[in-house]
Formats: sequence, C-alpha cells, structure tokens
Amino acid sequence: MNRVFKALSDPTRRRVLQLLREGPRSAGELSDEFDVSKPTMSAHFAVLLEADLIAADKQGRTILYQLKLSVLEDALLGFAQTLGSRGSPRRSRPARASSLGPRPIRRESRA
Amino acid sequence: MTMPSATAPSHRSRDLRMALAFAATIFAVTLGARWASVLGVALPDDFAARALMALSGLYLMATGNSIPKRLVPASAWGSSPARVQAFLRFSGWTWVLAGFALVLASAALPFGLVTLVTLTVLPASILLVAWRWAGLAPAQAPRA
Repeated sequence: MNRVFKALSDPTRRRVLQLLREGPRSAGELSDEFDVSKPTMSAHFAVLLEADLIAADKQGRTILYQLKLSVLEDALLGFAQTLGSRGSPRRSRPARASSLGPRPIRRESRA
Repeated sequence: MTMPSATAPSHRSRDLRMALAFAATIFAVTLGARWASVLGVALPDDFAARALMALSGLYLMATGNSIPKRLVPASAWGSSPARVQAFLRFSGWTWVLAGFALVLASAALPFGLVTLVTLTVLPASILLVAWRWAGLAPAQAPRA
C-alpha cells in the first residue's frame, strides 16, 4: 500500500492516471501532455507500474499503458486529487489537458 | 492488442483464497452463534442472520474492489478498450457500493428492513451492471 500512496503523492502521476481513465494510451501520447523530459516520464511510469496502478503492453516499438486501479485505489486517487491541488503538473497543452474527451490512440514509436 | 488475461493464475488463486476465507468465516460465525446459544450467552435472535448479511456485503465489496483491476484482453471483446475499461470501473463501483449498503443495513436497520434493502439493492445492482453490459454488447461484433 505504501507504493500506492507514493505513486499517488505526485501530481504528474495522478494526472497520468486521470488521462488513462479515458482509455489506454501510448507512452508518447502521455508524455506529450507534460512539459517534462522522456526519462522523467519513464520514471513516473515505472513508479506507477511498481505500484500496480497501470499495466504496460509492448506492441512493436510502442508501449501502451492501461489503467489498473481497484475501486479503493480509484477512490484514493479521487481523494488525493481533491486534497492535493497544490503543485499541479505543468502541461504543454492546457486546453487539451483541461478537456478530458476521448482521444484516438495513435500507434507511434515513441516510448 | 494482447493485454494480460483477466483469468491469470495469480487472480484465480487469490479469488480461491478469498472465497475459502469468507466461507470459513461464515461457517465460524454460524457455529459460534450456535455454541453461544448452547452455552447460554445472550445474543440477539437475529445476530447470525445479520452477521451473515454483513459478511455477504463484505464479500461483495471485496469482489467488486478487484473487478477494475482485472485486465480483460481488449482484442477479445471487439470493442474499444476505453469502453471495456469504463464498464469494469462501473461494475466494480456498483458492487462495492451495493456491498457497503448491505453492511450498513445489516448493522443499523431493523431486521425486516435489512431484508428489504437486500432484496432491493442486490437485484438493482445486477440490473445496472447488466444494462451497462447490454450497452457494450453491440460493439462486440466478431472481428474479421
């Protein structure tokens, strides 16, 4: 459970989980939503994978991430999102990030 | 897409352990209530029934909690993974809330109302999940 709390403590990782609520996305698509380097995003993905909150599926050169939250973890994410409003992640595309509409999955090679 | 299966061995063994644990607990509670009455310990008449309903609610909560955690191989559904994921989340939340309602009712309501709540909440939950499943069904056309 400590791993789950650690994973949910970071606003970027919480944002990743929010984006994955819409459906599976590639690592590249997720990285595009943040103004952080690819290695940093990979580290965030690693923490989420270690906490078993997401699952990775490698398809060729693309890594597709899928949400893997239990109901309790989902509720914890909601609480953390509500209470931990400070330090929200910087986004490269605020307009897109503010609207959580469905987005088609592009098969791209960024990982 | 080749997502890990929902019926992975780890899930199956965990489910089996959980079911056995709940079965053992139910057995212990009913046996304990019987022994208590034989030994003259004053327990409410409906203690065993309430305890069983509360345990059933807890089992429902535990089962529902793990539903969204199980990855369904999306390719097998012929539906969009996002819709499948939304369905699993909805099912999980429905079962957890239904179980929570059962636990609360068995702890706080008069026994007649507990039965009423059980007979209302459980079918309603099943119908809700079935309704969402039916909404998912048209997208499950066989893959070419």
